[in-house]
Amino acid sequence: MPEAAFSDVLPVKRLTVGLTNLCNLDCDYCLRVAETQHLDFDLLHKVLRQARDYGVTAVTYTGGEVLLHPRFQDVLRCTAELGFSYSFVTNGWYFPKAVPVLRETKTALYRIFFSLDGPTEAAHDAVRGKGSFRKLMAAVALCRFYGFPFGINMVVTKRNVRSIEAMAVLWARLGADVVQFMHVLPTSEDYDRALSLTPDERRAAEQEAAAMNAILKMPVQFAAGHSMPVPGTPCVSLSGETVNLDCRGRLTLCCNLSDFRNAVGEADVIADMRITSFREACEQVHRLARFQRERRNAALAAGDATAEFPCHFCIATFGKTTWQGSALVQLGRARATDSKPLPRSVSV
Amino acid sequence: MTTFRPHPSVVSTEVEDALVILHLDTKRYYTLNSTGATIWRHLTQGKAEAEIVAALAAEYDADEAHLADSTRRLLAQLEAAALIERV
Repeated sequence: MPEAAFSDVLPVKRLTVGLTNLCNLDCDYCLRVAETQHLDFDLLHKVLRQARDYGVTAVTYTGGEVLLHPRFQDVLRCTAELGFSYSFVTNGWYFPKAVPVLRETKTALYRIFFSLDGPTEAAHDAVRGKGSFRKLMAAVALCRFYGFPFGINMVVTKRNVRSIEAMAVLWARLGADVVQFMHVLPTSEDYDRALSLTPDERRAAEQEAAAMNAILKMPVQFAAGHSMPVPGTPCVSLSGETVNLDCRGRLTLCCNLSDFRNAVGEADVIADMRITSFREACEQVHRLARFQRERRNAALAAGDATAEFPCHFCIATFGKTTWQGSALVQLGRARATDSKPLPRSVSV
Repeated sequence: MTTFRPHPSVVSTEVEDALVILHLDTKRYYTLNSTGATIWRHLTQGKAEAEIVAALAAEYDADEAHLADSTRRLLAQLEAAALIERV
């Protein structure tokens, strides 16, 4: 049995919200189902009120591209009015239209996270399409002008793993608050083969980020999912501090598992928030978080190598990688710039 | 006639009546006030220096010689910062 300390859960303090899974881009490694599903604004408002009363103090909006939610400005206004601090993740394309509401709610704004795929226009646009890098940089310039705090997210793949140092230096110079790296979570065997790092490569990338973190004043770090070969609480989802509301109005364990492309399992989905109270749903999430933590601890004790990387362990154990052997997988768009296009065929 | 264009490594975006510029090579940010933003707008439309001055004279109630002097000084500053280049 796991030690008692590992079974404790912490009060929910942060809510992540999958505002929409619609996106104007089509990054091949994206883990979200590609479709148009917006979170109902009235339902969000109801959940936010309940979450505030429950003790949640911070909300992070993810997507899809959050600025494509038809009521994005109302979302930020009501988030601020309810007393939360908020942050969101964006690709920057539509950022100028958010500036008025960001100025209006600036005291509640914690941070804007821009998603980037490399430190150069060529590297970024090879994944996201021509013009993406300049759109993002123009958005960053607006942040600088208005004093909006911002950070950078980069999913680390075989393509960009050698640019960790360049990314860190670039964003330290451009005034980011933080650079966060994430290991790619594969959504098909082809993408796993083409993009994923080996465990050794992942550890080396984490060491590179740690080295940059030691040099720069700006934090450079790997987000949840980095190597953690010991039992315990690897992330805020499994500690119970963060729960996720998906764009279908369901409370789930973690945003990384939510709407996962080619997934079959939905054991991470806890409750339909149209008919469940936030308190009740959080209690269920906590039971699941505790169970998953103990499952990972047991896997580590049994020598299961996948348990070292918590996000990889969760996508495997929650049935998100059942594409292994599946006849049908949904792929991202192949790029003309790919030197070796990913095969569209799938194994049966 | 001297004509300038934005340096290829420059990204600019309008803010209210001003302009924010980021140079992707030097990693430096700049702002232009409303008059500077107007000059920048004319410049990105491919107008030569004399045409910019003429356009400003039509827009502003100011002495043309003064406008020409201000435009020349701003273009020199922009060129020195590698924000524009001669066509």
